Amino acid sequence: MDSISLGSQVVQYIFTGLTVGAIYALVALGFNIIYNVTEVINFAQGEFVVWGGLILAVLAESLGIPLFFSFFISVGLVSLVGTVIYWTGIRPLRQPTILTMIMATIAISIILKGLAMFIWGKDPYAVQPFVEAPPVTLWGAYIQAQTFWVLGISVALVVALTLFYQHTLTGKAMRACADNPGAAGLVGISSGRMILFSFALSAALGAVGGAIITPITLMEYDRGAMLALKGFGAAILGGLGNFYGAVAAGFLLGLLESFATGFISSSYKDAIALIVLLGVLFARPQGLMGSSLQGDE
Amino acid sequence: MKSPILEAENIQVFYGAVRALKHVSFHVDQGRIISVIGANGAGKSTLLKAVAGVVPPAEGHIRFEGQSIKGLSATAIVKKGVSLVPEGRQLFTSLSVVDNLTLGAYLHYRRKGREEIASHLGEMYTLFPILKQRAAQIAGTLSGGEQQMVSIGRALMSQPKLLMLDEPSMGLAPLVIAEIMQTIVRLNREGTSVALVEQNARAALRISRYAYVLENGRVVREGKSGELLTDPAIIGDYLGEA
Repeated sequence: MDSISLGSQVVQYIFTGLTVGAIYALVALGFNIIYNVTEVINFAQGEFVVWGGLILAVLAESLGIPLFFSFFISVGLVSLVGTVIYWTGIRPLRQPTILTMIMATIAISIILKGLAMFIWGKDPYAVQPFVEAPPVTLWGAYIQAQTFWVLGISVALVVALTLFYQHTLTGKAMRACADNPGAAGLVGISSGRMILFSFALSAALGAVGGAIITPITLMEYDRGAMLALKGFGAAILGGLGNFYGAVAAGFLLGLLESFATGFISSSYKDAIALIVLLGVLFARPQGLMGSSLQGDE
Repeated sequence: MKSPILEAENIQVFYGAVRALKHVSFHVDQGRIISVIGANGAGKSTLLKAVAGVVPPAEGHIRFEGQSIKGLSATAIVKKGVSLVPEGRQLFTSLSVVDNLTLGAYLHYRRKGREEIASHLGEMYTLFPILKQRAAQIAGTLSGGEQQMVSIGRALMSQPKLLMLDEPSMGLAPLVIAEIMQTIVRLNREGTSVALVEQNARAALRISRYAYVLENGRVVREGKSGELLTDPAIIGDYLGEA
């Protein structure tokens, strides 16, 4: 077989990058959802992705439940995990400060990782692709059909999330709570409920990310921390709290990683996110698109 | 004699070791406007916050329509029919005017239909016609007077029986202040009881029936607003040259 042309390689890297980037974008969005209401960085965000993938693997592969239902059950269960985290790890804190809450989320992520190892063991789990289809050939590059599911579902989620925040009462109440918690209380919006809801929502988002990526990358118990780090890098790069920024930065980070892997070495793959994170913090701490922090005193 | 809709007795509020309110008692009669005047830092805002459930009173009783509301959450107190227009408007500045107003009716969404809430929204636009033109505008970009209207409108969307306003005239031009005060009178005529806290003592005394003067966290005077307006001591301390 001939060596693959440079053009085909580039296309291959682009699609690989976008696929991974979509997951980073979902994790970054998850960070923002909780951050906007609480100013807390939830470091357990990556665990939601892991749990989404692993629960899907059990339901669809071990129990043989149709993939479609398994997907929604898995997202629902992880969302429940998100609410349990809030009830058991965040809400009981006495005199909660941002810092203690962030510490609590780190503890929670370690617990979730331990639990995942206990339940699923250390081996990676596989899930069949959503639809059995041969890879698509595009300019000489082979692209798995699942890639299009990942991209399609991610984009659909971003659109749905935007509509939710712009047009539903709960979405507006969450924005109000992020904007001015004191005034939100005066009109009867319970900030506790909104925080609970933000945990459930961001957990669901992470779970979707896990469920759609597992057919491509498999899933194992200890991926959470790295996913959280990459997603956090994307959230910072996009401007903390900025939704569109998070999505764009997630994809950008995925692409950078993919090209670095292809043209430099796969050993540097994980370093890219860290370099970007540090670079942004040094040079442009408000992120590429500006942070919701701007304007606050 | 009208019965009081709100009775507060012996309220004490502490911020840490600082006693912000010292045995303050006041009441609002059904269907009336009362005002609380006093210098900056006298404890006026704290008084309204204590009633609204924003700061917990350490001592005293607060009864609304005969029932104790002391210790209830701000949300529970709004549900009972007490709404606060906070100092400095406190709008949701990144949301549109119409979203700010609709969120004022947040607690009603489950019990009332969307149509009913839309009709309340219509009433707000009748009260403040300019807000209808500004409906889609981001609240943070409005002028001070318009922001105050949104803040009052948002509080009214919860259909309060008692409306409490904290310094509604702050930072506004005299003409706009007059407009806001007229609106308060109009709302009162339509049946809402009002507790008004103001540094602009003259404007407050003119529209209220009864008034309290707060100094260093204590009520130092109270009486009919008309009498306070002509009282030489009050003129000297709070009204300046007429």
